Amino acid sequence: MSITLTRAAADPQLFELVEPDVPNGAIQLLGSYSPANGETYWPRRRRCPVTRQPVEDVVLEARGELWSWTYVHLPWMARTPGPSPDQGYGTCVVELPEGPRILGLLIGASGDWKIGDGVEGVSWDLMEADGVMQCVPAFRLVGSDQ
Amino acid sequence: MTRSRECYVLGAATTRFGPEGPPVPERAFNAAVAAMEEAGIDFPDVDQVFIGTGLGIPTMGVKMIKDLGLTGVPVVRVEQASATGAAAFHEAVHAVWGGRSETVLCLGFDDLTSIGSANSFRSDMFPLTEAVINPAAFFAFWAVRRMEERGTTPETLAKIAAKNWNNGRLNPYAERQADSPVSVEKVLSSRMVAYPHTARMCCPSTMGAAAVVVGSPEAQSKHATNGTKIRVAAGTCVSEQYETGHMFAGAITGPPEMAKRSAYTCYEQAGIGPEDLDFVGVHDAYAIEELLFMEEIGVCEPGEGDRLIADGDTEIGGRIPFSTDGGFIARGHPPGATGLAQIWEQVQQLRGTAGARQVEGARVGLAHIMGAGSVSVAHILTNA
Repeated sequence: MSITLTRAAADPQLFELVEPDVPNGAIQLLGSYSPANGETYWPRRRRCPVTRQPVEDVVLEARGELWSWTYVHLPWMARTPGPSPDQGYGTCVVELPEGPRILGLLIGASGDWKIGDGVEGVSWDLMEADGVMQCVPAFRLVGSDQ
Repeated sequence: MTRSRECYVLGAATTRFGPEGPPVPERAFNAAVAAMEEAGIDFPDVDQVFIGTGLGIPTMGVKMIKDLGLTGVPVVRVEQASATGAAAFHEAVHAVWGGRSETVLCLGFDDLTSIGSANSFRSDMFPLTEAVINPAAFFAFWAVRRMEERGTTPETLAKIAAKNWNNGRLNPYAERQADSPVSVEKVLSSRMVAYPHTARMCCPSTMGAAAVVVGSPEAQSKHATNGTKIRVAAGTCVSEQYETGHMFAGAITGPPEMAKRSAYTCYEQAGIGPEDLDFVGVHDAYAIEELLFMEEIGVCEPGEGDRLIADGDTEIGGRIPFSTDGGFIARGHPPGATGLAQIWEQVQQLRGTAGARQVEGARVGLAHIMGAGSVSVAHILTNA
């Protein structure tokens, strides 16, 4: 008998799951907008780090361009989050059109990606804790079926 | 800051880094005693202690000082991740410059071999989202981006690493002591850690201790009467400034530009420019860092670092040697001790006691280090 775990954002202050019932479901990012200088930040700021004026909460679509990427062959602090402990995993920096750069896992195999590729954010089932599947942000190429 | 007087390095000592050897508290004790002996002082002469440990448990530093003596001396712990030891040195130097202290002991130690799992770190202050991005991956992002923008190749990164491994062979205190010269091919053929960084392009997670004593001109004259005077010509610690695309989450350090700001602040303090440096120690936990930071600190123009490396300019005997002691890659990187080991190497070079790795005619050196969070710490030392 299989047990379906509830999914939750491992760090709910950073992002939220749009489709918690779906593996690799869509996510959105929780950011801040500074009316004083027009800059957008991620994750949320208590005040604008440049003008020190109040900021507004905004929800950012998790879509952007690959700013950089790598493929990691060893775990550190977390278990290897890829499909197998032996296979390593991709990670990336994604530049959002609003300006912030986001780090996350990168779905696919080494060599699948190049800087400038369009990517979209999804949830990644990382680890179970207290009966809840803890998810972290991951990115995949736009149009990918992974 | 306004300086009321000069600050000199009176003594410096390091232990060999690495998992083999006595426990860290014993190494720390030995380093402190050796640095004080070299400075010509006993512990009661110390009127301020700065402890640098990134991972030491609370109270560990001040308890270790009890082995040196219960003199009632003020003891302050400093933590700045990788830059912990350098930040302790920074505080010590400023205590002397400002007139608050006459003779200051900096003692740094750490054991990175005991880092725990993700769950042991997890808290509201350490999101799991960040835990999956390990340091090797983060600096590999810089490398892949550099390869795209400037055409840097893995061979260039391997040449940096091979240089540092081979410099480490000349430093008896370096953790990694290769039994034969390390070639570019050997670096490239080691296990891939995070593309394009192979294992030999990455520093080891290690343990160790180092210590430095600094003092006022009066302390220098009174105690450290043997050997060359080593003056701290400049020192600064900067944190991040906002730039477009700034990463507030997941970034191990801020942008490489921080290295530039810290170095140029030092140049201004010392009244010199990057062309006046004779040798440099930079944060080279991963090979890409040495490449980027050599440009940021101004020893060459942006994009010219690859050529410097190809031409051998950064090797001992080259125009501007980098990581003469093996750097983080070969010497090792226990955060509390690393910055002080960098100062120890500066002292050896400026005294002319660096042996086979001696930079001929060394008069001015720069030590630079980044600390996660993040900060960039830089100092300029001179024998002039």
